[in-house]
Amino acid sequence: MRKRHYLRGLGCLVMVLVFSLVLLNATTLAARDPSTIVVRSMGDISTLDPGNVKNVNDMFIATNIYASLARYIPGTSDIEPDLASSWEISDDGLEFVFHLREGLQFHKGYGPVTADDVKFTLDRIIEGKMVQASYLTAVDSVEAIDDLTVVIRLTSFDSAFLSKLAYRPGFIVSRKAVGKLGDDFSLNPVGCGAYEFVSWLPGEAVTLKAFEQYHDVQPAIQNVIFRVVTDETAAAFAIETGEIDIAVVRSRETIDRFKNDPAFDVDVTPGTSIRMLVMNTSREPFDDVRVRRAVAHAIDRATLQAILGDTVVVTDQLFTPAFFGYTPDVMIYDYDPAVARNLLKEAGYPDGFDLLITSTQLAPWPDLMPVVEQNLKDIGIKATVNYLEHAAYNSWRRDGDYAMTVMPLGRPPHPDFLLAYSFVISQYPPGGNLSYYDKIDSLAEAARAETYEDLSRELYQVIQKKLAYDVPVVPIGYQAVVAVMQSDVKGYLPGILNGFWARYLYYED
Amino acid sequence: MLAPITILGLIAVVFVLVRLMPGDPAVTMLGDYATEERVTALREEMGLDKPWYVQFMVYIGKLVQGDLGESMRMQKEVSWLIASFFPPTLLLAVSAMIIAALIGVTSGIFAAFFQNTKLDYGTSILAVTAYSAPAFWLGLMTLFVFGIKLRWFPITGSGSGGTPLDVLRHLILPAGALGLRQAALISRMTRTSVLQTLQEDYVRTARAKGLDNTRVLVKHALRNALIPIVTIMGLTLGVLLGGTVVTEVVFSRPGLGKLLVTSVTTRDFQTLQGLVVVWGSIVIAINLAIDMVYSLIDPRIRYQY
Repeated sequence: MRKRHYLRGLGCLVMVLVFSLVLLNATTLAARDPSTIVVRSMGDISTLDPGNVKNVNDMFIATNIYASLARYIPGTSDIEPDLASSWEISDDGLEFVFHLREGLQFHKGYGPVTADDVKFTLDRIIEGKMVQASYLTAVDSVEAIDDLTVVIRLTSFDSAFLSKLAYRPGFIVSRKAVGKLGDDFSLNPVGCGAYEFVSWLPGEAVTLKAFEQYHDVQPAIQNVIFRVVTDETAAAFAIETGEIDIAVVRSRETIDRFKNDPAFDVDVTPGTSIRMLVMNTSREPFDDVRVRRAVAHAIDRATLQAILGDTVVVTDQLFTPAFFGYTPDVMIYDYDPAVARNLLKEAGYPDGFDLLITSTQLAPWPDLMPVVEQNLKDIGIKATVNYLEHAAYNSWRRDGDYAMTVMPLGRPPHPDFLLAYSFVISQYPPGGNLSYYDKIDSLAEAARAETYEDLSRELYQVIQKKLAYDVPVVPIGYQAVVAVMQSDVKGYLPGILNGFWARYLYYED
Repeated sequence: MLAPITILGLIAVVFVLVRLMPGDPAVTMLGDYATEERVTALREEMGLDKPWYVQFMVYIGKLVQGDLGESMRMQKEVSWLIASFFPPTLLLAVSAMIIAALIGVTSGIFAAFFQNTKLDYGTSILAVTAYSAPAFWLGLMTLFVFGIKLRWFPITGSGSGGTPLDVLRHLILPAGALGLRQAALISRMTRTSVLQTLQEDYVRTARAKGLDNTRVLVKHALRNALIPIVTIMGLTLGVLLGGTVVTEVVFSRPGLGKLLVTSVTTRDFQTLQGLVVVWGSIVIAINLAIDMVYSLIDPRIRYQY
């Protein structure tokens, strides 16, 4: 009898629990708020100070808070006026005069945007040796002529200079705000972009709201919440339940899952962040161009594309059509193991050789390297791949001690960014010229310093041909920017390199 | 007495391990495209160019003054960072603890009381299953069933900034997933412990006096059965605090666990060390507290120091 009594008690307890869960559930189904959009952030922010912003999570949010003198036209490498309504460039290309628009305002009542703020922004980065300083090495001086006119003088002409100003080094900050907030500025940013910063919940979310005095078209959506969802599976679940309205995703599983579901839209854009195999041209066996060409002929891109799905747009060229000066007219190495084996034989390696390739564990390498490994084995190169965690890889590769490795490189779509970092002598390891390539220094210098645009374009085309002929690297593909969104979210335009533009988004009624 | 020595040992181990990890914090901080001069300058600025024992002495010197240093990644005080990320983790661990204790102790007592019945077997099977399941799998399954299929609860965030009800709704799934495994352990422990005490002489005496089952169980057996249960619960809280790392990632919750993961991947040494020091101190403090609770439960045990 007693025991039955207890059991009844236990039964009641379980009932009460289930009932309260159901009650709680009844209060959960809130209607969608049309003034707010929830965007997935892949990780928490480190800083929103544009001078130091460097990772994708920071950049993703910063692009909405700040504005620059000039900006990229979405989806292109072309530049259009933003804070500056116009500019003049001197004949020798060393002096840029920018004319600011009238009536520009900073967020949170920090007053008008003046030429002095532009000067302050650039001086602060250069003098303070901030992360962005490496983009501004050509700057000699910045002078505010009056409130709305600023002159930037360069030590040497830089054809990519406007592109650099349109990227994060050119995000204008308020002198008054930086002075007042000091170190706190990095987590209480003040800009003059479409959205102003509202709050940061550590590890959870950053909230922005539309800036009423924004100089361009007012955003359609008032509030943007960047919610941190690190795990890709969790992000996919959150899109499915509607907790996230739009997310940039990386895994093939997630993309495939939403691609054929009419409740969601998937946008795939080839990015400007390239993945390549790098060969050390300073030592055997890759000092011989025939061996490098053999590797280029060995890579089976069709299989790679089938495995990587929409995550990577596989390519046989270093630049994409989005780049300034792009030409398709370069040497292409088709997949042809027989030709590759012949080239190896000619180079004196009829039986191939042993090769250790060290790779980062960062996606998509672990998915694509097994294919590369097999492709190389097929032509007689006995390759094995060793994976390092990304931070460990980044330190390891600085020693420059390898025959072959991999390289992910994200840069804006102007060739100078890529060339000046990865293919010039001054960037031998520990710098970014992992292949120790030394054949385009003068060409790259000339292309950058050429003030006549058509000539500059032609020089970049010559460089592309030269690089394809010498194959210091084998291009594998461009990391695609893939966004998954609820089907009523419209207006999505992929941001430039890790950026995100909330201001174009709107809900369809 | 032993506590500070344990913490010092812990710091030393972590300090060395962190520095043995491949990957340079200066390179990681400056990004893939940093110049060598900038890297060297930053290493000097962060004191990483000095020998490790000098760095260690500097660190300990600051630590005794309560200074955990500055995060390399965020350029903020580590103590400020930890304080910002601590509340959601504490809330999660304590809620999971409560769930684990409620489910574990109740089911354990019932299983003991109904020994060798279907209820006992059922509880045992559930407990073994729950304990065998990996934490991340259990997390993903609860998230899938209650978050996606049934849509009962939200699956991202902690609801902070919202109403207390919001916070509660965001808490139930992760706390449940985290607490369930420990509930299984506590349940098995409680069952064994209660069964053992029920066989003691004083229980037989109590029964012989004519007391009913409830009285015997609650007044005589349970209190004595509590000692091993309290020990396991204390250890559980330590495990739960550690378990938040996986749970926070799966449920996209903010907290120390996520801060820890970020600190490792970005080689933010100062934050990593600070977290281990704070975490270790908490576990040691919990153990001290348990020792004291013993004496409350069983007056025969008196703390000797």
